[in-house]
Amino acid sequence: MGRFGEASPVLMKLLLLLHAVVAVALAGAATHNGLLGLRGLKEELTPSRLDALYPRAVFWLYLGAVVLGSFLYPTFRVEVRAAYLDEALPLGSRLFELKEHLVALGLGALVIQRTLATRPQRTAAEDLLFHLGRVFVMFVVVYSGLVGLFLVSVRSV
Amino acid sequence: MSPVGRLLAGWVALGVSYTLIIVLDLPRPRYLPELGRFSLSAGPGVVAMGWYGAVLVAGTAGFLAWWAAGRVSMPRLGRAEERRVILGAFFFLLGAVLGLAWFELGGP
Repeated sequence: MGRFGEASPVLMKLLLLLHAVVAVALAGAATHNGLLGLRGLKEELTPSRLDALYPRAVFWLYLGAVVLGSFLYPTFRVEVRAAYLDEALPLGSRLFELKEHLVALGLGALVIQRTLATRPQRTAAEDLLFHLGRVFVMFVVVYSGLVGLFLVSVRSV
Repeated sequence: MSPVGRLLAGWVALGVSYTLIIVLDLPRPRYLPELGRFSLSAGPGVVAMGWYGAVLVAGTAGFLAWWAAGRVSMPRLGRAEERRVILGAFFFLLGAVLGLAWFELGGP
């Protein structure tokens, strides 16, 4: 019987592929959403359909990427990080840990931008928090995407 | 408290509790190496529990703060004050990000 949390390599590869597909879609949606947020911080935007569409897409894609990543995490943590990265490329391990921390903090911003996106008439305070949440999520997603890509190019599950 | 205040309270509570859990090294105690070895031999699932647990605890703290803030009544702030509070909380959380980056990239 395998150790707790061990999974077949084929299943891990499939999960990694799915994680990457979701992450690519998330990167697109979060970047558009975050850029709209940046514009919203500078000037008053006329409400558009995208104001509700992007935050909703980002919310579900982010959660999907987190759930898929959580299934990959145990194998990555032991088979890749402990077995290879900690010795061969410690910076990779540290960048990965920071990615996980940012993803956790980003969950708060994710809920905020999703909640405030559905408000028909946002106050000035709600508008400010909404745009800050979008920008924060974009920052997290872009950083996570780049680190994920870098690590997979070194060694993957 | 207003919806903005409740959301901010939840996000700040999540950020503070998560940062404390990580900086205090609770998920992977560096000062108890035998626990690390036990974790590795016990299997990937056990090792991963540290991070799952940190997210779960911080998420619960965030939810509880959001819920509790809904039961607190506060005087309505002016527009400029609201802006200051929101930006203050946001930069406080960015400080937590920098603290985590320091901890992982250049800290102890």
